[in-house]
Amino acid sequence: MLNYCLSRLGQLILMLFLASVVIFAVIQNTPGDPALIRLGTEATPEQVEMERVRLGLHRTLPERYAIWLGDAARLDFGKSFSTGLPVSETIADAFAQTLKLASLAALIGLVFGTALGITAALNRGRWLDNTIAALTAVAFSLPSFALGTLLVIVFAVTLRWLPPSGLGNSSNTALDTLRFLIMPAVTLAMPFIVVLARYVRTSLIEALQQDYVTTARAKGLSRRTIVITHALRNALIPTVTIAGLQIGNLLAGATVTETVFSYPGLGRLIIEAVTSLDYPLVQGALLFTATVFLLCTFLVDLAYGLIDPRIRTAGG
Amino acid sequence: MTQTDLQGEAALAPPARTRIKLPDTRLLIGATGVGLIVLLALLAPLLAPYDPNAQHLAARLRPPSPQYPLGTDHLGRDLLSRLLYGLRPSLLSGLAAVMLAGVFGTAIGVVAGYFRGVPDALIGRVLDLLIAWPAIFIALALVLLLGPGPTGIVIAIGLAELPVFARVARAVTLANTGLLHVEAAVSIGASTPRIMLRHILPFAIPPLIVQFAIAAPQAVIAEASLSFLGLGTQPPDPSLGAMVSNALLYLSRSIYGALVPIATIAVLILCLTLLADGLQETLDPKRRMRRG
Repeated sequence: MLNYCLSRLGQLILMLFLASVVIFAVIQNTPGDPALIRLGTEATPEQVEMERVRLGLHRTLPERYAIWLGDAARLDFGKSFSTGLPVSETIADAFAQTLKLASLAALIGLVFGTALGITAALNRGRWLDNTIAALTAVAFSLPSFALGTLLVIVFAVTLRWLPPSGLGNSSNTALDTLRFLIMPAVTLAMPFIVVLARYVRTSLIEALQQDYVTTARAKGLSRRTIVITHALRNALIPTVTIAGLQIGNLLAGATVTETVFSYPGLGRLIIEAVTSLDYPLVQGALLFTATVFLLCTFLVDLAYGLIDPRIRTAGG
Repeated sequence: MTQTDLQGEAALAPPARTRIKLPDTRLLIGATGVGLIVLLALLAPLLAPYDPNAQHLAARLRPPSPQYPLGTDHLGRDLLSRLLYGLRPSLLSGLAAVMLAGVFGTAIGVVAGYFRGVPDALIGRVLDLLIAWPAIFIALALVLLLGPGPTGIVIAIGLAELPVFARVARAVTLANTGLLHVEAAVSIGASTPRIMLRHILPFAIPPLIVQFAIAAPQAVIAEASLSFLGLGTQPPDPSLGAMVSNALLYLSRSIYGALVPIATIAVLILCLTLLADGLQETLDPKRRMRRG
């Protein structure tokens, strides 16, 4: 197990290093001279040169990368071009919001995904199974921005039950916050629900055909006991990976959903930073999101190794 | 599903000849739908009642009427005209991205499968690096490098779809390199590229067509989402995703600006998915048997 952990840790560090190099390289190669962008086109060549020295642009690329990485390790990403606030604070605020949204989405996804999967598996081949299959297929073919917009049209514009976007203000009660969160959370959870439902259905059907289930039935155990204590427990093991990977996606991939609902999270922050060419913010936010995503994948791998001994002995 | 099950079913099934008689229903519906939508996009200049970018400021956010069949957006632009023209970047970028992924993915996969050993391991590692990220990261990096627009997002979507094509092509190549006809080709001194193209690639075509069909709806969704985020087709030119993001701000006054492109995307994706399912059923005999 220790070997397995160490090899996964090595991979994690390698991926983090690669991510930082790519992000650094991308920002270095963006069109436009940062010194010129800061000073405007009216600046004299001498002023531009001084600004370049001040920004450290006269150093060699590896030097600049080392300095940048050192700063990043101390969570110092500089100040946002557009707001002047420290990038790390901006990211921390946005991440707190994304975390709230992603947790609710994960909860919705786990509950509904598992429930739908079990229902479909227990009614295999009957109309309920087919209905669930059809519904999940439709939900899957609707992009998040379309689903989110449809939810806004139905629940905010037509029925007026829920606020269309944003997060309200700080005097919100928990219930108010939930009213703001529910539509984006459902939108974000939808692909998760679909993937999980399909996965749980397949693995539960498989588990129900195993010999130990036949044995349990022969012993005269009730259907409920067989499903819950025998089949389901085994069926859920592979589901852990799927769920874990999806949670990584929830944290990193909320860009579209957050944009639909003008939700002040990390995803929307990145998109805004990219479209307004706020490079310090882009660098910080991308590096942070990549790290969070890689950490999630890493933890899922470890959890999977713990649950299934075959994985860690496979020389991984 | 056990091995004996499969054999049992195969034994009971009617002979192969009668089974491929009719094309799959889903294939028919999907192909017809996709065909119609492509036709609409191609004939946009003939069918569109207005210039898609022409603003009729006196007629903003109108509901459907004889004058504006699907209504107008917040700048009084005719939604039907914008829809017809907006289909073009979605279809074109989607197609371009899948072609890119298909051609390069297949080439990489065949090389990896043919040479095995070190090239195979290297290619595998690089592809692993590519799929370790959510596709949006690749898209953002390319948008930063190339600026927002179709080029960046086509490459991004292509890169995201590429590993699957490589994997399919590699698997088929691995399965075929050991076969007699390849050995025969090697022994009469055929060149490596010739063996790859003439003796291995043909076997990869059916699974690659299926993969192509599976990747197409994903690529269209990705293009629409990136355009929705403002990273794809740039204003004022219409695209399905950008139409939705424009309409989002004015939903309380008119929902048509959002409903029209959303309904179109939903139908397009549904048809593409049906087409993919149908093709898979028709071209993959194993799957046809399993369903039975």
